Amino acid sequence: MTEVYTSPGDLDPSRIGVQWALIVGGVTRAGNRRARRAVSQALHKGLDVIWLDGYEERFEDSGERVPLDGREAEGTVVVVGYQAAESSTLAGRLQSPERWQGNPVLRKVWRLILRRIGAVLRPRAGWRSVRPDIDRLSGSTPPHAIVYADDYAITIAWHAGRIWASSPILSSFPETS
Amino acid sequence: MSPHLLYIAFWYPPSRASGVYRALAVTEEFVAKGWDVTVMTTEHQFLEEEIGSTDPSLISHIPAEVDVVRVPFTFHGLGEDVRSLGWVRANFPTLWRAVRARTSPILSTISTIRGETPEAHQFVDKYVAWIDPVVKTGIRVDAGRAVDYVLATGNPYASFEAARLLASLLGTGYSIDYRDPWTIDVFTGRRDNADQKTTQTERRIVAEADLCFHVNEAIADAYGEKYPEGADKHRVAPNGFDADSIPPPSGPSTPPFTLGMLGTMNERWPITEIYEAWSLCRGDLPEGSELVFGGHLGYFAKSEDLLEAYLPDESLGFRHVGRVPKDAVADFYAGLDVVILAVPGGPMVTSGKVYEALALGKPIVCVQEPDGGARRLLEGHPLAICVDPRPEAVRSGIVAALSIAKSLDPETSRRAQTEAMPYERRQGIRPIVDEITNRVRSGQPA
Repeated sequence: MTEVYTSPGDLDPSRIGVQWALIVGGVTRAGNRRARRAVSQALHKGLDVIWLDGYEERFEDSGERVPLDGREAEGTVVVVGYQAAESSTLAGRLQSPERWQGNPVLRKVWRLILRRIGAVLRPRAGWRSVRPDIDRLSGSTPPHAIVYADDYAITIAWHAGRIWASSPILSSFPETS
Repeated sequence: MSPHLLYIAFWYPPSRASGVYRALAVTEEFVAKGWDVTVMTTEHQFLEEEIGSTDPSLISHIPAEVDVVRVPFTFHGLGEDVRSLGWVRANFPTLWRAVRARTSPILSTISTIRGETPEAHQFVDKYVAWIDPVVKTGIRVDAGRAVDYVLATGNPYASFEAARLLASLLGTGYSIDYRDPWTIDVFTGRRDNADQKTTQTERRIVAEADLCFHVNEAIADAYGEKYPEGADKHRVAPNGFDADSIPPPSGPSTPPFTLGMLGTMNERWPITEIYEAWSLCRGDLPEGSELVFGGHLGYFAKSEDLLEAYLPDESLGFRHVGRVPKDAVADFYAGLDVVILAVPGGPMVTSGKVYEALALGKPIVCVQEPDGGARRLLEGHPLAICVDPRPEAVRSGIVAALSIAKSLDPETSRRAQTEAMPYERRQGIRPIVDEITNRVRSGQPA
């Protein structure tokens, strides 16, 4: 397996072959686990992978990370980490607890209102972050599947599905296929 | 031939939910009493991907004699046709889910009134979809080896309905183990504003059950009052501590001092008051003293961001060490000079952690409202100081506890540990096992 890390807007479509899958990793820890599993499954199926990863790893994750199983596979995994790009958007700023520390009143306002607004806006912010890459890929062969890993990933999967009408949109790979 | 127990425990290893330790102890005790035990629980994948946290070290605690049958469950409508979503729902999926969660009970009620709801189970519980698969699986288990008794632990309370249905289909008796009250608010003690269908369901489950177990007297009494027709079937089977979580007895503390809390933090913990108290007394403590918090921020992975905002800056002598696996709990406690218990709520809230604290043989500061259940348990404990959740009171508690810590002799610590032995977890749940065993052996009708 070859792993390539890239930032939004820098994706090089020539990195992947004809048989590939688009994994949209979302922003939650559970979504990240689901995405890692989907990446492993795709590799086992002999697919290259483009993994749109919006998750910011936390130190508590160290013992709990789902390993990428499939390192022996031939495929390429291109990881587009869009967390940093997304965190600079309005939605990202509203969701970040660090920005609202220090002042108890601000923190309360954040807890009650602002973070909820951030959660509503965040899926679209994620889509905006990766849209240039999806547009760049639109000339490629359609992905074998588009897999979304959490609620936040639905938006990117839905827009990608409008570009590749023949690709199935799944929440995970079926175990038996 | 050994009797066969079918035990419905949604939270079971590798889940790290607080109820897991009780479920493990129940299975251990039934096995020790000579039962064959089949546990029906959920799948690893759900715990890992949808709950977002597990403790794999707990798997090794499942008794080898227990058969574990994993029945799938998911919150997600897998295979949702994303392509067919409208623009608003596709672009604001979190908003859509939040609105749907708020409105679904109303829509469900309207559908019921109009006679349109196809669902068999009408009460409100996020885990209702687990009932039918559990019942089907339970029938298969019975076909392989006849079931003699069904026991369910909740939450989720859907497990209770599954037990009722299964017992009725298999012709056995059943009992239920409430780790928390279902339709009574555990924090206020008031009857919850559960909808009528849910209350009816609970009433039927309680009426048909042989026995209902609760973790403390306050909850058992409240249920006896709520359903007086079955008041004699409510029993108390308290939580307790696990012996392997307790470090050796402590001696006198030397500076710098470490104060610590362990557990899964939630929004109700009096955490702000504790941090304020810490900042009030920190200047008077030897350099290098710190307040340590071990554990997760909320049970669900999604709660972390919210609860992170409650944590103070690490430069204030505070350290969050993250999750502490079950196998490392004794080591965590061994490193503390004073244990702080942050307990919300009133008489019904005892908190599982209080039993551990009782047995540590270390000074304890218990922060809870004056009528709190945890405070009642700690009454008379030689090393415990109970304080109201106010910063000044907590500060005084910390100062007093440190004074005890500095002069603590190992004999006092050891005596406190010995006196806590009745609170060992398996002692607490013994009434469940004994009563059910006697009932089955005596052939008492269900």
